[in-house]
Amino acid sequence: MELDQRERPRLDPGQGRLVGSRCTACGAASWPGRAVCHRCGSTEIEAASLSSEGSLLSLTTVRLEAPYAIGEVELEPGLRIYAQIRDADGIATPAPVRVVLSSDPDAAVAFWFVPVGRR
Amino acid sequence: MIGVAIAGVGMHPFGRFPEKTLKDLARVAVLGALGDAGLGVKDVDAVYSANALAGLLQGQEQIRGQSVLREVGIDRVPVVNVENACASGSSAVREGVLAIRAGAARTVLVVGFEKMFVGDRDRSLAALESAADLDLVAGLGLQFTAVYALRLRKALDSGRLEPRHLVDVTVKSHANGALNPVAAHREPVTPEQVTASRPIADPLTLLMCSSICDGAAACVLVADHDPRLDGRPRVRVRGSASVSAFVGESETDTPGALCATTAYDEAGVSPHELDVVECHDAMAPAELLYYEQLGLCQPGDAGDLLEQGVTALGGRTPVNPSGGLCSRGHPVGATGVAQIAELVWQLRGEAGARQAGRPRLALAHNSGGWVDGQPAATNVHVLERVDPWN
Repeated sequence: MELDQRERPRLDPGQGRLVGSRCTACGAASWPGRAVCHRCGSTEIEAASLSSEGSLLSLTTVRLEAPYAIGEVELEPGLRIYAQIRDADGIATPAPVRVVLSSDPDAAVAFWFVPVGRR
Repeated sequence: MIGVAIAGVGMHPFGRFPEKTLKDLARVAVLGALGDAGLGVKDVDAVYSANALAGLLQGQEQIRGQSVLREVGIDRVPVVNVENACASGSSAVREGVLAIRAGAARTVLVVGFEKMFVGDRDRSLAALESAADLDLVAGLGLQFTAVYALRLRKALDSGRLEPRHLVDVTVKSHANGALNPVAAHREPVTPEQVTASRPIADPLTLLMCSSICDGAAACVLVADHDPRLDGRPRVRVRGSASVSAFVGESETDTPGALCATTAYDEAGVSPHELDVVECHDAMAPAELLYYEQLGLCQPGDAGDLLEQGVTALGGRTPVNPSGGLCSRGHPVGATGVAQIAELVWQLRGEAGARQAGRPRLALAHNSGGWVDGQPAATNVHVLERVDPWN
């Protein structure tokens, strides 16, 4: 096996999507991508542009001086990620959300999700 | 395989001790545990030393164990520094158990110590955030509190828990802590106080959350046939299991459940046989989630278990009689060892006002850090009082 020494991309600004990996043997997806499948151990992994929409499963607001919302998003079956959620006041879960990538490449928060249909 | 017994335990009380150093905290716990075992420092032939934050908070990296053990004259023998986030303590306990089982040591000292009060709360909180995979969460503001809040929010939204359960388990935690002379928080609280305390991350309020804390705990491990154990109730380690985070195949496929099942299998024990439990309630309501993961009840029944009083002092299986992380306190690297100390006191009948009846089987569950929404490290130990109660 030839080792891939490149750093894997995480974001695709052109398409406005997260880039992860998908196992060609069992189909398990991951973000950030992995070199070896966590489910079946296969090394036959390919980079995968992930769905731009997912389901917000849970949401909380962290009450610091500048409150912000954090949520658990299922992007596809078995692939859950944690991210900031914006413009989601009063929303009930589960709810469809879509990913937004920051236009600032140096932003501390590179992406977040908003409810589908809002902004 | 050589069986393992716990010959002695000791703690430096948990709380806020600005005038004390890491060495002061560790010294009290170590000498307390050795004294409890009737042993001296020169009897120790291996040490597993747990700490999570001293590198970031005190700048003491790499040889934290040796630096605090020098103070009490423990030298020459192997000292292994163990770091595994909030599960550092139980990870060190497990390594000690394995060393005795392997016959590699006759007397193992395990010590966990942490000093989180450094005069700058933001620095302490930032240090805690490094217990996550920074590749995944850097800049997100995803704290432990938020992870637990998301899990509890989901349980509430799905109807598996009611808001009153979160409040009531917090009241139980503080009531138990009030009975524990080594607890950081020793004031009972009312449901109204819990609800009215400052919101931290919906549905969690301040009184539900463990707080910044200093403290240390230690235990001494020997073979379970060691004649030095004679003359007092013998406490044996019946099961020891450790797992890392993974992406589960379902909501109930969690590291906590896997670790508990593994420990039960090794111990030959089923969860309904347990008489007392210490679990990782970094937020008091997390205890409810762990009832299910540890198999104390079926999924969805955690609220009922609490309301029936099963897990209260005086109930069938008291959980966190010490006050748990929320009320005893959570000096990160010390917590897993403090759970063992509490359970040994309980199994010997030495827990005073918080004594959980006459227990025979006890379980300690400690987890730490997180990856993919699950604890990065989880350890479960099953302890047994060998001698009958008279």
